[in-house]
Amino acid sequence: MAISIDPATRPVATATFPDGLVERAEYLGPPGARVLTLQHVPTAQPRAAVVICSPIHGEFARNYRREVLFARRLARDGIAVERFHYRCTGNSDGDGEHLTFDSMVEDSLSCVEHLLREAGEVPLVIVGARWGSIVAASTAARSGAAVAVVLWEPLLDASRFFKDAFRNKLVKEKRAGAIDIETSADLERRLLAGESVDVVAHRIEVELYRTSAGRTLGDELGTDPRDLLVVQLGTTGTLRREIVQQVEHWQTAGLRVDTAVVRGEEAWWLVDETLYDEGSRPVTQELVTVSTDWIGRRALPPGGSSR
Amino acid sequence: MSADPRPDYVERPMYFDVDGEAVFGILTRSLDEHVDTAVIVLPGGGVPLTTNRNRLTVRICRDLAGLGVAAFRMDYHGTGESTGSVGGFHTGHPFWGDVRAAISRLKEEGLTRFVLVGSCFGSRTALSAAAHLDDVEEVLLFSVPLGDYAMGERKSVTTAQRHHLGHYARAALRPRTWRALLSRRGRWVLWNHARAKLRVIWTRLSRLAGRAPSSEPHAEHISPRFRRGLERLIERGVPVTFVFGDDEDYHREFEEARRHELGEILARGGSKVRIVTLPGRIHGFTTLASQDASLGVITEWARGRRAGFVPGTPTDVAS
Repeated sequence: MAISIDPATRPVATATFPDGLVERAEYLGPPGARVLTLQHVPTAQPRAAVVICSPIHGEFARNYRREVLFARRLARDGIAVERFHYRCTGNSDGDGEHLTFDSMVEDSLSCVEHLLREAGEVPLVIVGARWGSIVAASTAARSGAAVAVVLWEPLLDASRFFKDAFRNKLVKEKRAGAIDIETSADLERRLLAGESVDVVAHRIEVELYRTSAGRTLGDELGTDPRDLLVVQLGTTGTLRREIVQQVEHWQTAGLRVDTAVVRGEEAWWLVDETLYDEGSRPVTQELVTVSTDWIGRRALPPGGSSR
Repeated sequence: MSADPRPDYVERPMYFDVDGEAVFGILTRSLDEHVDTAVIVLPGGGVPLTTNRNRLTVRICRDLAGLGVAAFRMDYHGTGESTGSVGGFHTGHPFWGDVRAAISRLKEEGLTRFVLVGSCFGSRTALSAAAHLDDVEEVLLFSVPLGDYAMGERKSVTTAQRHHLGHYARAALRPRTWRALLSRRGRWVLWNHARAKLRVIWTRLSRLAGRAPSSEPHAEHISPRFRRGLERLIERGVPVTFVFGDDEDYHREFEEARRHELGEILARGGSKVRIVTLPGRIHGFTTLASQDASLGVITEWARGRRAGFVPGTPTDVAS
């Protein structure tokens, strides 16, 4: 493995692996608003380009390693990938209080542009997980370049994220024996009144709540014709009713929608004391395989890049 | 979203080699100060990422840079952005080789003095690395486990040591226990409890027979590895700060050990050993209060260092 040390003036690091794959970590943007981007570059000319929109807060850590493994698998299949940390989250610049839905989409669109500059004119796929699914939908609709979207356990409504967060807070406090526990309605009232709310070791800031209010996956994606893969993760073996209804709506509007159900338990918020070797978890293996195969069918044939 | 007009740090991602794996880290340094000291922040196994939970490590590194100390956060091999794989974390097998490689890499950046800050598994890694590497000048250990066990097994091991078989029999009669069988996680927890109890019984029977198996669970004892590491640091005069929450098992175990097996070693360290107790639980940084309090301990340490404060002087005694 070759590791190149870039000049200190450029916040870039590159690792080249024995199989020729390259990974590049780079801060993009002006000081104070830098976005950490992580590119996975295949050995040959890319057959497609994929931008991955991550979940946030507790769900960010839960899904992190899976996204890395997924990106590496795609790169081995000849597909260029860019992952990133939204500003005000992860290792990017900014404080959480400034995080907005719009800034997340701006970052995602910047990454699309950045990746396509590297990859050339290849099919673009946007992947989103959980909260990232709504960002991915909005990115796809606004970029105009995305031919396909992959959604992992998507949130159909932004408000669902907050409800899940509140519920996890409630469960945690009940387990800890707390007596005076705030309900979801109490917490929402506080956010509406302009007060941030602490949930399960994270803080939900007013700006994120305010700028995502009323947003739905369906509205953000729109009805422009494109391919869509919806992957449900959970313990049930059939698609949940709400997902079936959304898929039917999209199909009626002319989108080509595939669905998959990957069975497995996911504690999205409560990162417990059990570290799984993510690569050996059946749920991750299946999710990565299903998604990679589906994207591969939309990529150019090997050697067919138009760059 | 407006950019922070003048961040007082600059950050650079980097990869470095650890036994053929590319390990990822981010170096944060002050914009305008010559800095020779780097703090390496080592996460626990719960959120083994450069960010840690709720970006705690990001905040630590940026605050340290603002106080004139370079800071480095990293993903262990097999985690986060790094390549490789890990099946789990075991406090008896810390990843000190990752730290050794990080220090080598940071020396290329002109950094010559190193301080390790770790939490839980990361604190055992920090202790082990400091014991092996003379470059390490100081360690701050948050919620350090004294025993050797795999991550996720501590509760089952301590339960096995504290409770008789009757406790397990009563638990087996509870509906909640049977409901746990329905989930993979629940089955894993029950299996851990059963296995831990059997191992404790086996250990105790073996002791009665005059022989102790090498694979016994050590949560009730101080790991020989922990003891040797600590003794090595004390011998070298390396300042050690222990940080615990006053409502966590790690603190209770440490205080018990301090009264008995560790008392003499800690006394030998004199004023170079600090013990800081914070309210509540800090293990895992599962509350915002614990995150803020832990960050406060680190920035206070950095301010003291900036003011020319030398660990080991009479004023450096807290408990």
